Amino acid sequence: MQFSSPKVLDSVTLQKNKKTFTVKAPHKTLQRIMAYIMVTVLLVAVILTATSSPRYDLILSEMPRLFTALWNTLFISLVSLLFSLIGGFFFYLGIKSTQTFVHTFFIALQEVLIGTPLLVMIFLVVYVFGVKLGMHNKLALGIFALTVNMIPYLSHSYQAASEVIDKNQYTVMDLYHFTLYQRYRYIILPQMIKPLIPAILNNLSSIIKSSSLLKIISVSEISYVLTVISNKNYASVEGYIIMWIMYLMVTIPLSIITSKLGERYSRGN
Amino acid sequence: MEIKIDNVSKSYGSQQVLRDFTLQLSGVKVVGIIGESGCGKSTLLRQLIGIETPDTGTIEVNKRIVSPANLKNYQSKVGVVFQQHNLFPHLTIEDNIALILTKIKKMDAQVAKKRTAALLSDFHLTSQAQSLPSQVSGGQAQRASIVRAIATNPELLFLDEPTAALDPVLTREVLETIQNLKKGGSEFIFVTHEMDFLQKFADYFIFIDKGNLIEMGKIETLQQPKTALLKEFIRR
Repeated sequence: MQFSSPKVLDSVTLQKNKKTFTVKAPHKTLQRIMAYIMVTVLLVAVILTATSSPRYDLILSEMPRLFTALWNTLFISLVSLLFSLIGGFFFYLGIKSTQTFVHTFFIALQEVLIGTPLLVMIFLVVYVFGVKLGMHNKLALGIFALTVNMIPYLSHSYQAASEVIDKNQYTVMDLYHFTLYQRYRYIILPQMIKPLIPAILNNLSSIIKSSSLLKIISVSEISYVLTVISNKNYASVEGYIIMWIMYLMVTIPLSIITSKLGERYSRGN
Repeated sequence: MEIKIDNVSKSYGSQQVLRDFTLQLSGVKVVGIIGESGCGKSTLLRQLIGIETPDTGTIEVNKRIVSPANLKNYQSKVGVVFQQHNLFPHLTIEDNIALILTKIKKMDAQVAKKRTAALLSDFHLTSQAQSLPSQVSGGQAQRASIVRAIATNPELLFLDEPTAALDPVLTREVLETIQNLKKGGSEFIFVTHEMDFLQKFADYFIFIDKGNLIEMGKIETLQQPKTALLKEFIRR
């Protein structure tokens, strides 16, 4: 049985009273604009209908606190990303190890970390390890929890990016007896960077959203600050709506940059 | 060169590619290994280079045993040209060569730069020095890989069907380069299935069929094959 790929319908021909009418689909750019407008309208509709008597002014009156919270969220996310980039690289090396014990250890650890909900991870890091080690800096512990949570994903990104290097290059590196450092410094990492950038930005977006869970340990990021402000004013719906918009303000530009970089990378290939 | 192969066998899974392969050669400069596709000639070359280890038997090249224990020392004395150019795609032609000299052979950066420039000039690749491998023709890239292989002054060069991936025009450029290597007195072992290539460059031939050594000898003796298999191979 053969299947043909579906064709994009860009015009429809109609017949009425022996007359033929051809209705052309709007230009692609116009279609895109219409789609964006539609999503924006949906967004606005949700915001407007969320509550019958909205009191956004109560929350927006604390603008300086909101900006500090936004800054804290970005700081926590960027630092967590940086540490998980480093940790993820070593994790990736562990998984790539030819030593069966090391390889299996990291594979098993990866399964455990991926299967652990972030909420549980934060709890374990802060209230189990933090308490046992006598560490009370919740911001640092929160960053550590986010980092540990993200490491396996970054490791996956390294794995995917490393696939741009074909086996012939490894044969040449083996032949000239490149050391592990030389392999990564001169050959593998420079080629991994390009395909890695969109993955890094995706992970950053994911960290930003995940950081909202740090409110359970009272780290003053967007989610915590908005919960405090909205509870104080008995305006929790408005608080969540503003929280939503603040996250979108950061994640949508990141997503656009990611997709542009992704396109550029595939064109470069 | 001196080559001593003693009872070498190699299998991939259940398929035996080399069977009790034994030969001894000395005092020859250019050796061509010929045979049908899949006869085991590239496998033999990989064992000689040390990229793969035989299941049984020993190999000795220029009085050095090819074994995992002394592979680093042995491979630092040989150069290899593969079917594909295998240049690092993110480095320019010049950097592909200079990297090996500076980082692997620990040559001074200025000395390495001069040596790279001189070699690229000898092989008519100066104008491609700053290009990436993807920006030059297949023939130029393969010539650059030959330059990389000889940049370290290897005692012996291995070429695994270096023109197999090229069209006839690009093949000619590469053949000229190999001709220059021969004129320059380089010693090399190459694998090919083309009789013209063999007769043009080799002083000595090794004919393999189904992993067995069928016939070997000076290139002049190729005109009077002793075995029916070689006779048939030449006729094709």
